[in-house]
Amino acid sequence: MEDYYDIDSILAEDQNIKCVFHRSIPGLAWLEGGQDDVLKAGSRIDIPFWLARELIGHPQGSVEMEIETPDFYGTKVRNGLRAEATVVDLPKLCPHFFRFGAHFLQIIEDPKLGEVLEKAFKDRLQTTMDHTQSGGMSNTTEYLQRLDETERELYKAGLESSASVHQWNQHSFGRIRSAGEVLLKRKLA
Amino acid sequence: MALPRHLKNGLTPLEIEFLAENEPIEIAAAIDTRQDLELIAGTLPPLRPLQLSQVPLWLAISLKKKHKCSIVPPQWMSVESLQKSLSDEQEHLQFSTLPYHYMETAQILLENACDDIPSPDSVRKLLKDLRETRQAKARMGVAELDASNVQMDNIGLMEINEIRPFFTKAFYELQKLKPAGQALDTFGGSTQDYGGFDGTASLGSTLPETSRFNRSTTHGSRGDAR
Repeated sequence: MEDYYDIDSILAEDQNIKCVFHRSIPGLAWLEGGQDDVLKAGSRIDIPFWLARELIGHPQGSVEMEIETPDFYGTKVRNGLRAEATVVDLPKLCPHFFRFGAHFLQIIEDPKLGEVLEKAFKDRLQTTMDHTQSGGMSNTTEYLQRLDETERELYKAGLESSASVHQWNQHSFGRIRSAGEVLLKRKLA
Repeated sequence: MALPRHLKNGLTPLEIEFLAENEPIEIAAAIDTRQDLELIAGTLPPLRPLQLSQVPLWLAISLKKKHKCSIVPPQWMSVESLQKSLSDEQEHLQFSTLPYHYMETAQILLENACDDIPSPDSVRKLLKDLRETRQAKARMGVAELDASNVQMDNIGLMEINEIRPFFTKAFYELQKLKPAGQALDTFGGSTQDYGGFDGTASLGSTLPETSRFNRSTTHGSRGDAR
């Protein structure tokens, strides 16, 4: 429940996934965009993850449906992550790649996917940390563009803490400086 | 909750420096106070000229600035012992034994009492080397980070604080990627302690979430409530 107010978590749940309904359901045809009332058995439609989760785990009897594993967790990506996790362009696949993965694994039994994600996350972690040490000076933009939202947060946190220790080391903490707003005002004047 | 992020992640370097100023250090006073020094933290015996006495670092620095004492640098800050620490550091996988506040103490002393430290330049250089070697080790720690714990003995407060935001977040995300069944096993009572610094996450509290999608329990509990 700690995710309840986490905006990234909410955004991650908005990812569309493909579902196949095994039984006709009256009153749900609007999901498909159709005019009919009944959602026919065997329809394969894109619905947001949060909706799929509620449908499958509904307290008054779950809807019989099958959730397909999205392409970005498919064999091709898995092999890519296994081979060299740091070069895979995650935001292109899914902006909340790992966060959505964590949600997805909660309704789908796929231990292999969990392993792949965990290993990929760890493999990328060290490179991400190396980039935080550079203080944002070196040419890191190319790598940063391949990070998913979770990793970007991590990068920011790491960058800030290493920058603050660096600043302390350079004795620049005690020095009194003009506030940024004043400098800006002077520039504009 | 509403703190800016750089304050949410624990202590700032300046706060750590403040904490380090409470560490005891030996000084040779140049004044005679004649009476006990009554401080909030406790009472210090009187300072006598040319006698060594133990005082908190902040008092030593304050006296030093008034030219009322000379500071005896701690044993570990001598060139020989720093060289030994450095070679230990390079040979072994563990962090070498240095005081918890070594970075802060060294920085404060080098800044304020440079003339009391023999060969300050080589001390400075050795400290820098030490720090870089240790940083490389902390980086290795990332590779060993798993969902249950990561062990780093002898790491200093400043060093912990530097890697804390990154490690706690990474740790938390790793926990989430664990499949529901396994996650339960790795939560000990003690892991809950990490949550406090993160501000967003308490690691121990994912239990309800993992069981939420277990259909049989959902049914059972809702049924009972009705």
